[in-house]
Formats: sequence, structure tokens, C-alpha cells
Amino acid sequence: MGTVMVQGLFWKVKDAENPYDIDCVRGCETMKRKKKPKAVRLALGMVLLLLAWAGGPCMETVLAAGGVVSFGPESYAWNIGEVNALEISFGSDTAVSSYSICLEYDSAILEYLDGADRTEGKRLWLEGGGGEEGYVRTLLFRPRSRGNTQVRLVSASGSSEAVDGETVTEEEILVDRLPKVSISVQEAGSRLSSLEVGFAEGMEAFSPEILEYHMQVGYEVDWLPMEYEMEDEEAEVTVSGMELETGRNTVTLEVRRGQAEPVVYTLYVERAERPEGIAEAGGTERQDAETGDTGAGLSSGSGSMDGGNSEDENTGDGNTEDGKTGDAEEAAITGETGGNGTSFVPEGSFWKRKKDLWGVAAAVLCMAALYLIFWLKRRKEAERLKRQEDDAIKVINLDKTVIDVRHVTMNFKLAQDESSSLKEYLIRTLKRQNHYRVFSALKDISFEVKQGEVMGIIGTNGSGKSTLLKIIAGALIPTKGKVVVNTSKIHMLTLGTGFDMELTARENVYLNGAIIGYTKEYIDEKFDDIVAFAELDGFMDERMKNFSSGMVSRLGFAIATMRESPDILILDEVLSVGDMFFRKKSEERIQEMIHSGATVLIVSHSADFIRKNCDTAVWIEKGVMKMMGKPEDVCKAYGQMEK
Amino acid sequence: MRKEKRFGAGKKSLTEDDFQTEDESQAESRFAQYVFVIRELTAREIKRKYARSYLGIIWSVLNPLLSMAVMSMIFSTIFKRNIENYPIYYLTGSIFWGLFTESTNAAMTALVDNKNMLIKVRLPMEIFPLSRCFTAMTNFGYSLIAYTVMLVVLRIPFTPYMLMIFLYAVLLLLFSVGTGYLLSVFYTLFGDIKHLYSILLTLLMYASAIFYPVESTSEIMQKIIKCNPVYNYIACARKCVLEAAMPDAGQWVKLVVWSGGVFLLGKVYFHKMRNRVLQKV
Repeated sequence: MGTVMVQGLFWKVKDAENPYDIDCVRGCETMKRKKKPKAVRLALGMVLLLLAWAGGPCMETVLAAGGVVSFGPESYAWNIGEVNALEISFGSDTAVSSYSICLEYDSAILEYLDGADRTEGKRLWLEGGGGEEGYVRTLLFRPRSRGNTQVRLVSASGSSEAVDGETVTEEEILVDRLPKVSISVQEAGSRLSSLEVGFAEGMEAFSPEILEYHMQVGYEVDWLPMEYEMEDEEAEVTVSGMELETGRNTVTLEVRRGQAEPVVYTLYVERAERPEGIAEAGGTERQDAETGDTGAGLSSGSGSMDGGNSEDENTGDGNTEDGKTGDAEEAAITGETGGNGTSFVPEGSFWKRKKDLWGVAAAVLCMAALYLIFWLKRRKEAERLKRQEDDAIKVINLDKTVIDVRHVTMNFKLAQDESSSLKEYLIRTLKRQNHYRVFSALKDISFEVKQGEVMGIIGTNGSGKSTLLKIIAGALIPTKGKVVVNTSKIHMLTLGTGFDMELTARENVYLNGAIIGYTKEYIDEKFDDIVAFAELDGFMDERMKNFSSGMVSRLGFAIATMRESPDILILDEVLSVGDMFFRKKSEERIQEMIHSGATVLIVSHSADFIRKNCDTAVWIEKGVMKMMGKPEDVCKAYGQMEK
Repeated sequence: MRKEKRFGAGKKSLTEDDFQTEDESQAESRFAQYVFVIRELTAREIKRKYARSYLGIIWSVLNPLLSMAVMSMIFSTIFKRNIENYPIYYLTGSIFWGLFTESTNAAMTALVDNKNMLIKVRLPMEIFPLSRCFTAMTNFGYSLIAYTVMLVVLRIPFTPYMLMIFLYAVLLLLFSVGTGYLLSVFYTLFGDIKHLYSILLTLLMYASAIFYPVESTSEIMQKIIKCNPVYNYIACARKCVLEAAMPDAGQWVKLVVWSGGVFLLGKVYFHKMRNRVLQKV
């Protein structure tokens, strides 16, 4: 049920059920004219309504995307007895009319001093508002005892007011993420008092109580030089992860003093990717000088470092040309956007994102290769066909045979009782009960048709005449035997193939014309002749379903016979249509076509017609060729059989 | 089975090409003629489809918009805030899904519906399923108008990545044509396929994550969804519009292999079954 509904929503507009449904013929046009503006207005209205609906609420939801509550850094190292400040900010992309934040802290380790609007046990409330887009609040704490603790957000909410004229709508600001801040409380003297990092860009200012830092370095930096001082000389510092890999790295500095828990500083370092086409070797003076500087800084540093030897490695990776430094910067941008996968709008410009360009190039190459393969295949095929054509010409020149039917046998496999459903078929296949009866529609038929000859094929119903024509035209492939003929020169005369009653007569002329092999230009050129011959002037923009059957067949006949005489013409019982007058006209047209010098094959029940029009005749009875020869003789024999 | 093989051997020695003779220029004009026929047939299908409605072709634009409106109304309340730009998320899925279902469903019955033409006219049989698929593609083109309107309304910035949507549509069309070839032959041999296929389509639709986020399903379901070829096209299209990114290597491979593979399979099978189909029809 569900599917049907959903599918219905997508596309399905029912086809007109009954193409022959009779409507008022003449009134149609005037009615349409009146209704058209209404329809357009209706459509416009619907579109506008939809836009208003879709656009309105959607934009609102985008705007009220929610608020963000954040602490500055998310980890601190505080000393016992000192007063420390904790910053909390509440931000939103709309004006905040009121907000309320609830925090929880551990009173065993921390002592709350000031800053909150309301306190209750371990909980602190910050409240306020007034229309700004963001608020920053500061809380003061004094650590009581050593240990690790957290201050976490219990809840946060806010509201914004949108003033639209006189109505004021209040909307809730939702906060998705409730962050927490971890605090490590130590006795005085267990922290770093200063830290400097070489090559790093975008690093936050160092402060002893803040434990986390973020920074970026260029692709050429594979080792992070640092210089630091401790509050207490007795402390020990262990550094890990100074070797940098492309992408995100974490470098930690562990400060240990006596038996106490260590204070850990963490540096998140983003190393840019190497841009393509930059050689490993080489180095500039600028780079050398820089490395030298930091090297000096390192040797004067009091930390335990084992990276003295990496000085050389650093210089080895420098740029060869100044011009390429720009590339490196670009690469840094690429790295950033690449890392930020969920970003909605690309930060770098399209052409800078080289990785994607390669994808496009690969796709284009693939398609070019595919095209090339198809082209080669077509050319090869054309060559082969040409060779065949040469052979064929030889055959034709030898005895001027246009159609050569050689020992054609056509067998149809008829299932004894045909399984028309898959289930039945499967069951039968499994039981090996798929019995076929082989029905021979044609048995070993051979004849030749010479150029310019008019040949009639006669026989009772169901004796395989139409099958033979289909084989000659190439629509069916015989089971045995062969037909040598240039199928591209054959024209099989069919009336009104593909007519669609829902379309206008004009549209049908083009449709039917295309199907029976006319080009658009040809139809354009002959259109007026077709209309004139079919005597349908003034009806061409009418829908065919309003035509009488005579009009339909006249149009079909006019289109089918409006061709320059083909090399080989096949007629399958299409002789004359319409009323008495049109019948005469169409018979003349057929006669004209038959005697235009083309090679003609005619299937007919009428012995009289064959006797009048054909040069030779073939009699096929129950799939077997009974006789071939002069029309008079064949027709006589055929007539006798009937008796 | 054995009998069939014997027939097959008889056929093999005589292919259509054995007595078809034409040179390159003729082949080319022939090709142009086929293009003309496909165009006319496609035009017929479209005119026919909207023959009895006042709005006509405008429905092609309105339909996806309205269904999007309904779906957004329903699902934006269910999956609150889970998907950014739900209307576009849904619309991308639905127009691609529409292209696939519409073309395969129509192509399936193409041979049977046109059996008169099939026998009487010397046209390659491929033309009929092909024209049905192109009809769906034309409809897809109109839906893109609706799509563009929604992009503008929702203020989604234009990026060159969005142009990739055309490539995905062409690849999906290739996939659909292949499927359509297979189905049209199956359908001539067994009418039941129509009903079976509608059930399969239902299954495929729910496994295409058209109106729900993939992440909201269980892990096994996610795996199943990712195996679904149609989902792959939808996912790539969403990626290029909503995230302004190219598909990753795995997705590229899937895109090309599914399209090329199914298309070739369909074509070869279609060609092989040609005579059987003509006899049966």
C-alpha cells in the first residue's frame, strides 16, 4: 500500500485509457482557447503556493539552528589556593533574548567564589539576556585540594524573539552539545611557566593553566622544535610525539614533580600535505637561517631533548624556488578543507582542490577511451560491410538477381501447452516437461527474383507467405537456409504503423514517417503533398481520435506511398483503402509504384490481381512451394485446388 | 534445452550481417534516421502522457515539487534536524529514483506494446526500449527545473560540482537502459515479470534511502543499502550538490562498473534473444 502511494506521488499520471473516446469534434478548439489561461494561472498559483510553503518554514529552521555553549580551553591546570577564572560563552546566530545555563562542579576540590546568578549546592546558574548574539560569563574558583575534576554543563537553553510588525514570536534556541571542562589541581610549581613552539602558525597564546593548544605547520616541517621553562626546576618533563606526520599529530608534554599526578600539556599539530611536483632535495637560505635560529633556541633550552640531529633533515626538505612557496600555502588550504569533510561550502576555490581535478580528468579520459573504442568498432564494421557490398555487387552482376532465397526453412518452436507464466515455466523446466512441437512455417523454399521483376506470391491463409516476406525483409532470421538481398534497399509498404490516436494528424505524419524510414527534411518537403493526397486539408491539427476510420487509412496510405520508388518494394495485402473515389486513386498509385521499374514482391489472395500485374508467380501451400512460373498457369492451378 | 541448441547452431552461421550490405555513408544516414525515430517516439510518449491534462508538461515540474512538499512535511517532523536541507535531500533522491523506475517500467513493456511496429517495420528492436528510456530522461530534465528552483529558494550556493549531476544522470540512464533491455525481453517471454518487478522495485526503493537518512538505519541495513546500485547514484548526486565533493574511488568504480556492465549485458542478451522475441511477439 505504502509503495503504491509513494510511487503515485512521484510521477504516475495515467495514460489516457481509451484512445478512441469520442469527444466533441468542433467545439474542442474553442474550449481549449478559453481554458488555457486558466490552466496557466492555476499552474502559477500552485508554484507560488509551493514556493511560499517550502521557502518559508525551511528558511526559518535554517536560521534558528541553535545555540552553542563553550568554555574557552577545555582543560586547565590550577594551583591550590590561587584564584582562577573559568570562562563560559553562550552564542547563537540569532539575537538572544534570554538564556539560562546550569553548571555542576565538585565542591570537594573546588571552592566557588563568584560569578553565578544563582547557586544551589553543587550547581550554579547563569542567567540573563537582552538581545545580543552572544554572552561571555566568568566564574571564579579557588581549588581546595589536589586531584582531577570536571566542571560540566547540566543544561543550557535560551530563546530568541523575532519582531515582525506588531507580532512578537518567541522561538526556542536549542543547544545540541553540552561540553565539560577538565581541571587538574596541583600544588604550586608543577606547571610550565613558558612554552614556545617553532614553525607553528595559529597557536593560542601560552598560559600555564591552559593545557590544550592547536596549531598548523607547513608540509616541510617534520619535527616540532620547542622551548619551555618550568615553574619549579626540580620538575621533570617528558616530551612525546615530536616527529610529525602529514595530517593531524598530537604532541604531549608531561610535567612530573615528585609523587604527584603529572600535568599534561597537549599540542594538536596539523601538518599540511605535500603539494604535487615539489622535489625533495634543495634548500633556501631563508629556510636555513630559520632552522639555525630554532636550533640555537633548542640548545639553550633546559629540557631533555633528543632531537638535535634532526636539524639536517629539516633543511633537506626546503623549497627549491621561492615561487613554489605559494603552492605550499595553497596546499595548506587544501589540507584544511579536506579535513573538514562536513563543510557545506568549499572554503578553497574549486580549481585549488587538485585531488578532485584528478577525478574529473580520469572521468573525461575514461569517456574519451570509451568513445574511441566505439568509433574504432564502427569503422571496422563499416569496412567489413563495404567488403561485403563488393561481394554482393559481384553476385548481382553475374545474373542480375536481386533477391536470392536459398533453401529457406523456418521452424517455430511451439510449446505443446505454452507456459505463459514464470511459475509454470520453472515447474516445467524442473520436471523436464517442456515439450515443444516444431512447426515448420516454411520448408526448403528457394527462388530468385531478378531486377525489375514483379513477383506475386499466392496461397491460402496461414501457408507462410507473410513469414517469407518477413524473412526477406530481414525481420526474421530463418532456421536454415539463406536469403541474399540488400535489406537496406527494401521497402515494406505498411499503412499507419505507429499511429497514435491521442496525437494530432500532423504529429502522426512525422511519427509514422520516421518509423517507415523518411528523414525529417523529406517529410517537411512532402507534407503538403501528403495532405493533399489524403484530402485532409484543414484537419491536420485535429487529434486523430476524432477522425473516421476512412480518414485514418487515407492518411496512412498517403504517407506510405509518398516515396520515390524504392529498389525493392514489398506489398503485403495493402491494395486499396477508403471510399469508391479514393479507392480508384489509391489503386492508380499502387499500379504506378509497381510499374516504376522497381523489383516488387506482392502477397495476395486475389488471383485476379496477380494475373494482371505480375511477371511471375509463386504458389506456397502449407509451407511448401507448390509451383512457380507464369501467373496464368500458377493462378489456374491455385484455382483448381480451391475446387 | 537440447533442441534449442540445435536451433541456435543454425542461426549462428547466418547472422543478419551476412546479407546486409551498406557502406559507411549509408550507415551514417541510417544512424541519423534512428535518432530521428527515437526522437519522434519520445515526443509521442510525452505528448501522450499529458494528452488529457490541462497543465500538460508542467506536471513534470510540479509533480516532484508537490511530492517533495508532502514528503518534507511528513518527514521533517519525524527526522527532526537530522538532515540538513531535507527538501533537497529528498528531491535529489526522488528525481534519480524516478528516472530509474520510470525508464525501466516503461522499457519493460516497450516491445509488447509496439509489437505491430516490431514486425512490420525494419527498425532495430532496441529503438523501442531506448525511446521509453529517453522519455524518462526528458522528464528528468523537466524535474531538474523544479530542482533548480528549490536550490535557489533554499539559497544553496552554486558550485561547479553540481554539474556532475548530469554525468550521474547519464550513467544512471545507461544502467536503466541495460535493465530495460533485459526486462523487455523477460516481459515478452513471461508476463509475470511485470508484477514481480513491481515488488522488486518496492524493495529497491526502501533500500535506496530516498526519504530517510542512511545513518538512521541499522548497520546491516546500511550495508545492504550501500550494495544497492541505485543508491550509489543517488548518494553521489547528493554529495556533489550538498557537500560540493567528488565521490571517492570506490564509488567511481561502482558507478562505472554498474552502468557499463548492466548496459553491455542487456545489449548482448537483447541481441541474442532477438529471434525468440520476434517469434513470441
